Amino acid sequence: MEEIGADLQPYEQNTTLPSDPELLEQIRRGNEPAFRELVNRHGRYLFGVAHSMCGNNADAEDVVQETLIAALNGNFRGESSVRTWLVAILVKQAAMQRRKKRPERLAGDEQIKSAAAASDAKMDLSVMLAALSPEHRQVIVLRELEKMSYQQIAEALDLPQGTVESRLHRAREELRKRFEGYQP
Amino acid sequence: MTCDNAAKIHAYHDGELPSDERIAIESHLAVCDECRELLADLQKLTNIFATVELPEMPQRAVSRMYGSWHAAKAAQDRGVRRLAGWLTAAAAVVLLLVPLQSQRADVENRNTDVDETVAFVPPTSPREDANSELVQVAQWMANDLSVDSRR
Repeated sequence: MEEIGADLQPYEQNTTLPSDPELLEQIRRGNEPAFRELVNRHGRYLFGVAHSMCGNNADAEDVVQETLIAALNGNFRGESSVRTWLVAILVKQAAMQRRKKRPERLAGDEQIKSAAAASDAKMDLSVMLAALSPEHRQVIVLRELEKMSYQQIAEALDLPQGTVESRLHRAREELRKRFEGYQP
Repeated sequence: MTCDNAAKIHAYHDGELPSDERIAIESHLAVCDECRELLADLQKLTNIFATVELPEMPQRAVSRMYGSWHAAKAAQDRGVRRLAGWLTAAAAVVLLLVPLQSQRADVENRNTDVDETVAFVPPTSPREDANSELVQVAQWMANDLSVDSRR
């Protein structure tokens, strides 16, 4: 199958690359290479987070695609980095996708136990998040990966700040129990 | 956990406490083993997330991300066409209503007394001028939007 626009490259070499907010401006004006540059900069990371939240490639691809479409139509206000803004959109898209599908566990307890026991190996994010409910996954990703403040998370997820705090505490308690013996 | 300060330890760890509460919780940490242990665990957890590995991205996913551009453009175009359709319909309603309003105004003017009828000069009345302008604008909108929606 031919890849869409596979012949197009983001930007010529030796050109000064725009910042992320500048890229968004160019994208808004219809600049497709700017969009490709955005994908090149953040696509792998977005996919990694999406995969960790969804548990499989197909759903992660859907979520990332929906995230990018929403971002193209969205309004970046410069209150955080572009990546954080994209991840905030992504966690909401992942939640919407989950509502459409039957809830399922990302990984079994055995997988979590073996990952926790393997203290010499780096932990896979999917295994970490598999221990959590979808609601707890959202807040822990935004806090621990994106370093968003409680208020920013509350705004991103349309939740009261108190709910964000209590979900974050419960998520951490769950992770403390699950990964007690693990040393990063 | 038996200590009531757990929530504040989380907030302290996340840098969410105001300075006076931060000083108070630091004093508390000096005397509470349970809260010190919680704080150490939270720091360990944050370190795990800092070193965590993200799943690899297949090449197919990149192609789909590039495809998002075309999907978004198609969605935008659909939105513009829908809006153009609604505006065309609105313009058509204006075209229908303006002549009706003019007819009603004529009937009302015929029913008024003689002095008012004398004062009414149909060809150059402001109301008719305004109506004709409205009709022109509505026709212009309908023509323009019809062309846009066919693109």
